[in-house]
Amino acid sequence: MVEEEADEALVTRCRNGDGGGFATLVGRYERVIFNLAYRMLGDPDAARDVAQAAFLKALENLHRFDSRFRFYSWLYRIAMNEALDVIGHRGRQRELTDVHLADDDPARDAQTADLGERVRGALGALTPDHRAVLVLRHYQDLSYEEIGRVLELPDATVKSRLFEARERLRVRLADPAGEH
Amino acid sequence: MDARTLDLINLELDGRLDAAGQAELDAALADDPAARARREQLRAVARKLADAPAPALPLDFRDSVLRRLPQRVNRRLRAPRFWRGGLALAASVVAAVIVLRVVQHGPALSPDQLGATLAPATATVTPAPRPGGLSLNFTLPQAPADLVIDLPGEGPLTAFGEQGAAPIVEGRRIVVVAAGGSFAVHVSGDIDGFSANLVRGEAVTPVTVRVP
Repeated sequence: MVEEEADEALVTRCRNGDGGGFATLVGRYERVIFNLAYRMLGDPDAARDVAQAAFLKALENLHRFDSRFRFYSWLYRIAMNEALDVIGHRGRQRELTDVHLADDDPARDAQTADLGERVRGALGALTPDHRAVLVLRHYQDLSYEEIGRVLELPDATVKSRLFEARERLRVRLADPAGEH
Repeated sequence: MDARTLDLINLELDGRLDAAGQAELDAALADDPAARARREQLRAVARKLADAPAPALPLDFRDSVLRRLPQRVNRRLRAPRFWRGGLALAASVVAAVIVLRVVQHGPALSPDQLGATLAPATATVTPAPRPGGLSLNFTLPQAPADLVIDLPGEGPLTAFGEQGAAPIVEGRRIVVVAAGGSFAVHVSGDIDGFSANLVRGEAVTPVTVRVP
């Protein structure tokens, strides 16, 4: 595919000291990486920090990138690990706030929060493992196999975890008015 | 609704159902209103995820990433502890200048004499002249560190790396984010000497210069 070849060429340019190659890679993936981080963290400021850290870490470790694989999968893995680290450090306090928003006050949720807020709260109420597979499947449009490479999981685990996560999200996003 | 039907619904949602699977699902849905309802609910989940807005990317995102590249290394170099190692750094600068002159103009000092002036280190660099510049062949311990190469003087420099090195040029300083091992950095410009240091956290270790 043309785009993957272009990524490879940009990686080669980076490895040869061409800063323009890295700038182009950042421009190409900044939105998806920021979006991935936002969906994982639910906080635009934290998402920006994680996305920045992911790009910097990618550059630092470019010599470790195996060009037999797709660059974006490798970049997603770095970004996802950064986001999971933040979630780990953040602890459960923030997550519980989101659970409260999503579960304990559904009337307020329906009346005052828009769809983005409801989805943010529902995603925040999932475990990070469940959230990760959902985000990679629904927002990054990765296949089971690609998700497995990013999260370093067998395909069967990806599939079962995704189905489970989707089921939990279905319950959390259930519309009180019965609309779809 | 059984677990098999739920799996088929999920596979359909992910576009992973083959013709046989689709026929099996269609048959199951025809006989099971609960399964049909569940399929609609899961489709609604996918729609809500897709429709949920996300905040816009900060306008200066890319610039802020690129600005942080050299700053991060420079900040470490400006840390107070760095200056405690100033003597070692100065020694490495002087040694590098001397070695470079040996490489470029013929030996005025023996390798033993040069070696005696250098701080002990496991990281080494072997300089070699190249047309319009200098090649620096590094062998570094296997550990992540920033390799900082300073080249006193004036004028622009360009650099490129080999064997995985990706040098970043900032004025008369070149930074390589290194994981260890052997690699080369080729520098072009007006060069009259250099120093090389490994920066790890706030620790700065001069790189030993070896005469080829």
